[in-house]
Amino acid sequence: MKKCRILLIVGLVLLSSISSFSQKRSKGGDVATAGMARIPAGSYQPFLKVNNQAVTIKMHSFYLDAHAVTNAEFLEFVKANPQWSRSKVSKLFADGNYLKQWAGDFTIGNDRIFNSPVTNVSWFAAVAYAKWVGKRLPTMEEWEYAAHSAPVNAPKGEKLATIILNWYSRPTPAILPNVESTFKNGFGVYDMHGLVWEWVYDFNSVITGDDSRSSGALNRQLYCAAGSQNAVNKEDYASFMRFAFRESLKANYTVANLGFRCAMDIK
Amino acid sequence: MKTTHQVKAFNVLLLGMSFAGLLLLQGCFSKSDSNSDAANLGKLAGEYTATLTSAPEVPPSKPWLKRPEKVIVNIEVIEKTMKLANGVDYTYWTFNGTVPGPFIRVQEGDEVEVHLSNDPFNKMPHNIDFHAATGPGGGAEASMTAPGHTSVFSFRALRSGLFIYHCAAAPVGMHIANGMYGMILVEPRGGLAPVNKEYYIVQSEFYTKGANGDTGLQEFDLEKAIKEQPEYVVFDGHVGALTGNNAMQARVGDKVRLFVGNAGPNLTSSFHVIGEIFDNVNQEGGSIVNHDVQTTLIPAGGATIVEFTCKVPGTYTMVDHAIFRAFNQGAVAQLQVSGDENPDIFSGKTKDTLYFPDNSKNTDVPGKISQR
Amino acid sequence: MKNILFKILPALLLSVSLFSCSKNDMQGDKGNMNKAQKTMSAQKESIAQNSLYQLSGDWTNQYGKEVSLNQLTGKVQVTAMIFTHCGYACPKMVDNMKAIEEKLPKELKNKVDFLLISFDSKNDTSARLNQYAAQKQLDDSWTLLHGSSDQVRMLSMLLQIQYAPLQGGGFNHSNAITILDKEGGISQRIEGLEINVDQAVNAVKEAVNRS
Repeated sequence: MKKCRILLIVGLVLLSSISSFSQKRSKGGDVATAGMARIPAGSYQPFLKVNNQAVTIKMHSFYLDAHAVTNAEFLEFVKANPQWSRSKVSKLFADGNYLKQWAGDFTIGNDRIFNSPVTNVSWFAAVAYAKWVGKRLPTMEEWEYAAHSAPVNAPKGEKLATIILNWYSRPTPAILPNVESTFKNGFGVYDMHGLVWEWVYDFNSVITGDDSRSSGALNRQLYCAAGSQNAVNKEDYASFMRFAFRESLKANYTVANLGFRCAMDIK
Repeated sequence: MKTTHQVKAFNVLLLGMSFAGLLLLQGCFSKSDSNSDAANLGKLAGEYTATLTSAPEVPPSKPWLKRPEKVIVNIEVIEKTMKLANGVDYTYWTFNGTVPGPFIRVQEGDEVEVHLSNDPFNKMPHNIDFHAATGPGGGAEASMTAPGHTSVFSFRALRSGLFIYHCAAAPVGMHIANGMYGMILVEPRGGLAPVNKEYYIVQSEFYTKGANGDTGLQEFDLEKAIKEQPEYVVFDGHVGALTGNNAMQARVGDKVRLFVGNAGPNLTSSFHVIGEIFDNVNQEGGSIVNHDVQTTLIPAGGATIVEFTCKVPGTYTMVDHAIFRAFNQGAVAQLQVSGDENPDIFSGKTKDTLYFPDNSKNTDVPGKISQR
Repeated sequence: MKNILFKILPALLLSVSLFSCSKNDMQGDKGNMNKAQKTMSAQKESIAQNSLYQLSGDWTNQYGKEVSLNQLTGKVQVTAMIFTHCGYACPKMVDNMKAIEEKLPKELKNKVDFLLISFDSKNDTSARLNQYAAQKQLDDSWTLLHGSSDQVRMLSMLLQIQYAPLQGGGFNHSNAITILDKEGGISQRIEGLEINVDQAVNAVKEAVNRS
């Protein structure tokens, strides 16, 4: 029993020192990766089966923003690229609710949301922002891999799945909380669950059909797919919801609780 | 010899049965013929926006036109916290802000054009599957809607009957468990016979983290849902939604028609009105009418229409006669019938006297065992 | 396969300026128009706002020539996303497009072109596309385009095509033919493999008459 406790403490200390190390390094060394966490290489089991089999995917190491892009950060991008301001943006690239929470083209107008994640941004806008800061959007695999790490500062005994389900079951607050206000996970990344949904680069790569009940009987008329994409764990409701959400999107959609964060390769 | 007789009798029986079957079959065919007539997809006579009501109210019936119409149904999905029971809150996912969602009333052959809007502040994508629709997913795929968007699709109400609609977005069970269901009535040609009162009732279960009665905001419990062990079984979405001050009302002599659905997500309902016998039951909401029924089964994702006549005043309690659901988990509704007593039908208590059992006749009295 | 994708992503990401639309060019000769023409031009502008050709960047066609989407302006484009090693759905879609081509009335022949964009940035080089065009007997009214995986992803978003690379090569993808009007706006989408060719031809006619 005592041994266990000591081991646990040692483990925790080790973990926190690792994450602070990587942060320090990124702050001191490479300006471009400031505010990013280095996600270590590893493997994980994706939610969807491949050819009806659960698979384990090997993941490379990459950088991921420690928090989602904020309204204040996105404002800098819009100022530098006025074609992405509310009144100028092409309807092809962002629907009518684009940056609806802002007061104007170049004003947020509500200092309570400066450090909240920017939402009501389309996939096209997110891709353009990422390009502007020299980064890219994470792929769905990268995002899911980074998000499967358990929270380190969660209340005792609270499972990740429970935290996620609880968030899903509450409507979005009128004022979104600041970034880094929810849980930090084992990779040193904040708010992967519990703050906003996030765009991923290849969100349109999930082919299950919109009716979740027919998964496994994909319409061959509409899809050319080698295997149906069934869920590995039918009780993983949190993942069901995330995948259902992605499937309901089109790239020019903007949603009040959908933001994004950026990723970067390790050079 | 005996065996041959039996065989012969059996053959005759078989013949009779197949004949009857043929008749039945013919009945079926002529029925579906009339259905395809109704759905003779000619020009629509016009277009109107459906009047929607929240439970237990039912929209009035429209005069029957010769040609079907286009009916526009506007539904908004709203995720919001409401009272589930006294002191117990729950974050419901709703159609139009109520559980169950609105009652929709159309006529056989109508084109139903659904406008499904998803509130911008909702977390989830939602859709709608109409059991009254013929087509993939009952419209589930066609109506998949991200927050802040509206989807439009339409279907022909080819068959008359009472039908459930519900959200079918993944994970389906959770969307239903959180309150996303309602009913659509497709009136048969010529309409339903007029009655004095019509009410709208949907039975459903809730699976909360806390036990029945635990106060505060309760979250959905996936494990209980999978095990089919609800904490609450209710009529019209909340404990007490149709009791006490919220009870339905009728007068003596009224013909009452109840549109009763069962949204599940898991349980089958044994629907019973204490102190009434149903004159008519449209079994499973379809076209077969049964009479003189005490309790009728309503499957999860199914519905039934029951009719009875209020002959004597009083409070008539409706239950799921799987009785612990009623008195321990909330599956109770009430109909208050006012008017004059009718002792010829029901006397009420006419006498109360003392009772002395005759011990000498009762051989089972313990004291007597030793004498045997 | 996927790792390669990740490595080339940043290099290939489209420049931000790509998105700026060439609205000014469209409005050039607005000066002396009567009312009817003005309404027409208003419509045109709204179509241009929806034009997929706002997406710039160079693609390579089956002759090895660099082309931008904007060069497709002026003709209706019957469009599909495919990959040439696809054994089932893509050949069927191409056959459907050929059936549309054959049924087009003569007067429309020079107003309608056909466009195939490959999912397979790695294998469907311009040489391979040229070979495929020959094999499928596609004439000069067909354009087959090769682009970077980022360009392809971006275009798939606009055409509302879902696709995912598979581990052993090849792709899962949704099947749809999109009819683009002269300005590059989506006129109609025809989903599935069993299409009604007559209806599709009518949809093409509609697109021709639209702008």
